[in-house]
Amino acid sequence: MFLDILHYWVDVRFVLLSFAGAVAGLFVGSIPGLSVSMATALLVSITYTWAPTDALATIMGVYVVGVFSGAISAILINIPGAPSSVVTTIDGYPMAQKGEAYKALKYATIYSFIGSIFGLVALALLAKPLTSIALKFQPMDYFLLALFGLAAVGGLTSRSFSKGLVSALIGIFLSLIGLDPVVGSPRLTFGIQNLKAGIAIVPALVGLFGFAEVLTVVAEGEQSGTVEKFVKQTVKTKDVLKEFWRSMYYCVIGTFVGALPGAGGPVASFLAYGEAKRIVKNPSRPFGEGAYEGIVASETANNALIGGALMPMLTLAVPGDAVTAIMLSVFYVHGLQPGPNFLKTNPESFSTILASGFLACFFLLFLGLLLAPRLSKVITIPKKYMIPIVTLLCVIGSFATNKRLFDVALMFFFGIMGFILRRNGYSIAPITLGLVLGGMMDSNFRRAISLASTSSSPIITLFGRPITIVLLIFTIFTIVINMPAFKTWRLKKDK
Amino acid sequence: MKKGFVFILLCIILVVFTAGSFAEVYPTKSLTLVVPYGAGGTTDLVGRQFGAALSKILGVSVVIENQPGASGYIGCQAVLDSAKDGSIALFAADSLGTQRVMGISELSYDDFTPIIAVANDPKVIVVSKDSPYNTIEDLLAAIKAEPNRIQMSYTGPGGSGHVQALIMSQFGYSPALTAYASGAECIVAVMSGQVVFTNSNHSTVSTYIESGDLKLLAVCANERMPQYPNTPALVEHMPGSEELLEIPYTPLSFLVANDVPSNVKELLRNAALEAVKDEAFNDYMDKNRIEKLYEKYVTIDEIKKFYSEWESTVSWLLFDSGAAAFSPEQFNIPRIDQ
Amino acid sequence: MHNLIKNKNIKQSIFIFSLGLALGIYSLVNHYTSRVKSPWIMSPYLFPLLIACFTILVSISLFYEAKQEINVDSTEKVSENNNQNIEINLKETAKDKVNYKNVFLVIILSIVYYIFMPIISFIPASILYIAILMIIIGAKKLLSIGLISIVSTLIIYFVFSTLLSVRLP
Repeated sequence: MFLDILHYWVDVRFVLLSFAGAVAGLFVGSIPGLSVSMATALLVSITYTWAPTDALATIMGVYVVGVFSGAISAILINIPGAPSSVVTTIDGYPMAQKGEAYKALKYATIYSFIGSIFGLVALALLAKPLTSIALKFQPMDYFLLALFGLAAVGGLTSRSFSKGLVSALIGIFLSLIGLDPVVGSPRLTFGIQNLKAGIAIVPALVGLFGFAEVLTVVAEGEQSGTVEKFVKQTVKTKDVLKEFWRSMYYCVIGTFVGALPGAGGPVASFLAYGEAKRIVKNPSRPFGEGAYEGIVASETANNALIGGALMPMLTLAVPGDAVTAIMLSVFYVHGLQPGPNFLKTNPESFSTILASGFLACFFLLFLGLLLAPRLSKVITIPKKYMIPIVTLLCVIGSFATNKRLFDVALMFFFGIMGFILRRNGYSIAPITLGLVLGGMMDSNFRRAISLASTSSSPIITLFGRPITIVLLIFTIFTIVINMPAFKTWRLKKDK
Repeated sequence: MKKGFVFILLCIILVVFTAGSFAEVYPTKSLTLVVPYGAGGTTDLVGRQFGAALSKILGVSVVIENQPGASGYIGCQAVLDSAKDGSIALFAADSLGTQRVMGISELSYDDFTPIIAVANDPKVIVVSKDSPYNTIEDLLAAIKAEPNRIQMSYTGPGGSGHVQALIMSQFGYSPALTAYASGAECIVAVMSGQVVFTNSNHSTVSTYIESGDLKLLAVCANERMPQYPNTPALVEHMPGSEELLEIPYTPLSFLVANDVPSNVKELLRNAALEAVKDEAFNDYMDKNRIEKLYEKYVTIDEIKKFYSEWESTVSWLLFDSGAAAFSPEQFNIPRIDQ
Repeated sequence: MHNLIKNKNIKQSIFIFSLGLALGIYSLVNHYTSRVKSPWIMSPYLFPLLIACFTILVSISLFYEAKQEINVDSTEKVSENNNQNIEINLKETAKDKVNYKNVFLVIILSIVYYIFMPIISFIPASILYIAILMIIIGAKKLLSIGLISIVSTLIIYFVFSTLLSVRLP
C-alpha cells in the first residue's frame, strides 16, 4: 500500500488536481456561507465524467483543506466557515482582537495538519477494527453521547452555566422543528409550510455568527472590535509544537467521533475543547479570552475527524458526516460500491484516498503557513468596507445551500436573535451544538425506547451494555460537577 | 479616469441584464433536474445516471440539484414554484404519493405531468449473518409466534419499507417496527444486532450479501430474482399477496409541472424515450438489477393509471394501519378492491 | 423587591420561564390533539416537553444566580451612597454608545430587501441594499459606496451563478 501511495505522489497530474482541490477548499472553507459539503456536492456534478482517481484527488483536497480553512474566518472575523470551526471562534477571535491573528492562524494550521495526518494514519491502519467498535454503539449510546457533549458544553462557553444551558436548549428546540423522524408528521412548525423541512445548519450558522456580527458593528459604530495595534510577531514553530502531546489526545477524540456515523465535526471539536479545559491546568490566558490551547483542541479534533469519518463510509457505506455523505455518491457515480469488502476488493481506490489525503495535508500546511501572515492583515481592513461584503456573503451563502429564499429569511431571523442573545451575555456556540445534536438525541432516544419496549427485559436492553454504563456514568458526573449547587459547595469546602 | 471606470461598470451591468432577456429555443442553457432527496440515495444515483443519458440526447447539460427535506416536499414544491418553461424538472420517488394522507403537504402526483416512469429498486428481506433465522419460513414462523416482538428497521412512516411491513401485517405477520434515518442505517441496525431484519432496497444491500455480512432471505415480489435463483419470492410464503406485491413500491419517475407548455413536454418525452436506450444507463440498471419501469408502463396513460392505483393501495394501507393522519377519502382517493 | 424586578437577569429568567411554560403547554395540547395517536414514549412531542421542563428548571436556576449576585452586591456596596453596582454602571455607559436606531434601520432594510429581491432580481436589489447599508454604517464617500456595492455584488454573482451554478432570483 505504501508503494502505491508513493506512486501517486510522483504522478504530476494527480498532484496538480489535488492541489487544485486544496486551493478550492481553502476558498470555500474560509468564506462564510460556502460550505465544504456544498463544494463537494458541486464537484460530484463536475467530476462526473472524470476518471475516479482524478475525482477523488480533487475531492480529498477540498475536504481536508476545507475543514481547516473554516478556522480562518472564525479567527479573523468571528464567523466560522463551517459548523466544525464554531469552537475555534471562542478563543480564536479574542486572540485576533488582541493583535495575535498570525499566532492563532499558525497554531490552527499546524494542529490541523497534525490532526489530519493522525486521522488518515488511523484510517490506513485501523479502519476495520474502529468501525466494528463503532458498530457496537446503539441508539441509547448515541443519545448519551449527545447528552454528554451538551452537558460538557454548558459549562465551557459562558460564565454562567445556566446561560450556557439556555443557549443549548434553544439549539435543541430549533433542531426539533420540521418533520418528525419517527412518526413522519410535522411538528413545531406553527403552520409555516417552509419550516417543514426543518432548520438547516448553514443559514442558522451564518445568521447567528455572520449577520449578528454585522448588527453588532452597526450598533456599536465602526470602532467596535477594530484592532488598534497589529503586532508583527514571530511565532517559533518549536513553541507551537509544545502542545503536541496533548494534541494526540484530541486526535483520538476526533478520529473516534468521526468513526461514529452521524456525530460529525462540531461534536468532535466541542468534546475536545471540553477536555482541553479539564486537562490544561494553566492556559496561556483563561479559556474564552484568547487561549491558544483552545484553538489547538478544536482544530486538531475537527481535522482528525476526516480520517475517522471516512471509515464508516468506506466499510459500511454509512457516512460519518455531511461531506462523506456526498463523497459516497461520488463513489456510486463512478461505479464503486463502498461496503464490507471495499478495502479488499478495491485496494487501489483506498490507496488513492490515502495518497490524496496525505498530499492534501501537506498542501494544507504549505498554504496555511504561506497565507497566514498575509491573511492576518485582513482584520485591519476598515469595518465599513468589510461589513457590506460579509452581509452579501451571508445572504447568498444561506441561499445557496438549499436554493431556498426562505433560508435567507431564516438567516436574518437568526442574525437578530444572535445579536440580542450576545448583548445579554448568552454565548451562541452552544446553540449550534444543540442544533446539530438535538435531532440525533430525539430520534435515538425514541429509537432506543422503541427497541426496548418490545424486548423481554426493557431495562437491560436500555442500560445493560458496558458502553452504555460507561457513558451514563460520564454524563451524570459531568452534569453534577457543573451544577451551580455543587460549585458553591466546593467553594465553601475550599475556604 | 474615474468617469471612465464608472462607465465601464455601467456597461457591465447592462450586459449582465440584457444577456438573460433574449428568448431562445428550448432547451436553452441547461435543464435542472431536482432530486427531492439527499445525495447518495437510490433516487439520486438513478437520477444522475438518467440525467447523464438525457443530456446526451438534449445536447445541453443536465444539472442535478438535491433539495432534500420534508419527505421530498421541499424539492417538489421548488419545481412548482420555478419558471414553467421546462427548464426545471423533477426526479421523484414514491413519497410524492403519500404526502396528503401523511399530512405533510397538499402535493400529489396530480400536480405533475409524468414524462417517463424510470426505475424501481426491488425490495429484499435480509438478516444479519449471525441471525438464527436461515430461511424466510423460520423468520415468518417466528413473527407469527410472537407478534410485535421481532424487530424490523425501516426508513420511517409512509416509506416503502413501512408499506411492505404493513402488507406483511395484513397476512398475519406483524413485526415490531423501529424507524431509522436512511436505508444504510437500517442495514447497520441489522448488522449490529439492534434489530432482527430489515426490508431494504436491493441495490443498497447487494455488497453486504456478497460479502456474507447479511443473509438474503426473500425477495419482496412475485418472482425470484435471476441472480438469486435459490432465494424464494415472498409470495411463495404469503399466498394471496400477489396483487399487493405486484406493485413497484419505489417508483422513480421523471416529471414536470402541469403548466409546462405541451410542446416542451413532447420534446422531453421523446428525449427521455431515447435516453433510456443509452448504453451506459442500461449497463448501470442491469448491473444493479434495477427494474426498468419504462418497459412495464410504456404510455403516459399507463403511468397515470399506475400512479392512481399505487396511491390508492398505499394510502389505504397507511390509513387502515393508523399511520396516516388523514383519510384518503378526503382527497377522493377511492379504495380499490383487492 | 423593586430592585429584583429591575435587574436584567431576573427579567430574563422570568421571560425564559414563560417561554418554557408556553412550549410545555403547546406540546401537551398538540400531543393530545394529534391525529396520529401514539403513546407518550413514542410521541413527537415528548422531547419538546422535556425541553420545556428543562427550560423551566434552568430559568429557576438563572433566577437564583441573579438573586445571589444582587445579594452579594448589596452587601458589598453598603458603604457607598449609590446602591448600584459599579460594574453595572460601566455596562450602562458602554451601552450609551449602542445605536439601536441603526440596528432597527438595518433590520427594516433587510426585510425590504428580502421582499424585493424576487421582484427586482438579485443584482439591483443587492447593490441598493449594500449601498444603503454602507450609508447607515457611516461611509461618506459616494464613490467608494458605489464601487464597493457594485463590484462586490457582481463578483459574488459571478462566482455563485456562473462558477457554482446556483440559480439566483
